[in-house]
Amino acid sequence: MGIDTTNQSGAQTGIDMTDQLLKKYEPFDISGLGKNIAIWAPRDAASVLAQRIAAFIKSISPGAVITSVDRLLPGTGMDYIEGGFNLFWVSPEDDQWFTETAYPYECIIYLDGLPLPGPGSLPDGCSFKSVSPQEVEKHTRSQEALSRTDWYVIRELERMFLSGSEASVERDALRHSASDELAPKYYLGPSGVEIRKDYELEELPLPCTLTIEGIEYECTEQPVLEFNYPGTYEIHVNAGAQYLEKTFTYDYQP
Amino acid sequence: MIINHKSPSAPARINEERDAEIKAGMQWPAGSGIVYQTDPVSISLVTGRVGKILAYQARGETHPDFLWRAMDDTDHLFTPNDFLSFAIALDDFVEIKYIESWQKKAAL
Repeated sequence: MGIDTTNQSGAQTGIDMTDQLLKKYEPFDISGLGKNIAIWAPRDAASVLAQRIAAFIKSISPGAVITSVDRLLPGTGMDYIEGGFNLFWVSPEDDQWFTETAYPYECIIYLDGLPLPGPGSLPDGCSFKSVSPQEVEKHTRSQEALSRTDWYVIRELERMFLSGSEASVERDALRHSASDELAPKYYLGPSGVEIRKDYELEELPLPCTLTIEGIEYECTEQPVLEFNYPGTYEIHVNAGAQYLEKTFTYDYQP
Repeated sequence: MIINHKSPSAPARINEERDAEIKAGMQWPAGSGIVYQTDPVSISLVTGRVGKILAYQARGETHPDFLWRAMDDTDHLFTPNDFLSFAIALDDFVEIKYIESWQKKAAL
């Protein structure tokens, strides 16, 4: 037996799709999946699918420890599931991962309707199982596209009718905070996804660019900061992909 | 390396500091511990009362003594002459703050 969730879409109103998907997996013979499982899907969908497969494996193997199924987390790239399973995922933008030979995939689970890479880049003897996008994402492509425009509609309505109001000012501040919170913490280095390094103003990574009140300063050595007037200044630092972009608050009182 | 930042916001910062200092109020008489409000509205009220006192004088009359409220909401008795002295001190106080801000901008 093997995983076969093809064409499992359709009317699913009122049914928890996660449970539904796990039920579809129930008859599966895990040993038939092989040790190395690859998921071929766009990154966001693959994340959901990987979590559900991991959940299923845990449900049938309570002792399984899954530290992460997130490709973007540090130290991953493949995730070891105690019990002998390696769970990968591969996105269409990164099909070179299919050529990794250290962990030859024995089973590829892919989203139904997504073109697979050319036969030459697939490992021999690999089995294929497809899953419908609706089951993974819990809604259709159109629903997803519709929900993605919600923010734009809200933003336009806010701009038209609430501009300058207390609520609008507060939301702008929250957007600003959210932007900071979502600032990318990872970058793609020569050996894969790596964490962007942190630093302090007193020990800047070099070279870097400081931006103070819109004026840029290229630094090739640790700078001594002087200002023509005392006060509190925001100093933005960009030191390239390996380092976090940070903004420091500097109180200059000579 | 030394980064010497010429802050484009420095003049605005100086103006803000000046306005804050003016808004903080003026002690009068000096050393009395009594602080009077010197924000634009309060200055306008002082100016109005000065005009009233002078109008009385122009008519050959004397404005009666009156109470003027300090920043801590305590009332203080003023004669017309005392109040004119207070108004002169207030105008000097504001003018000095402006002159100081101009000097700071010139030094940038």
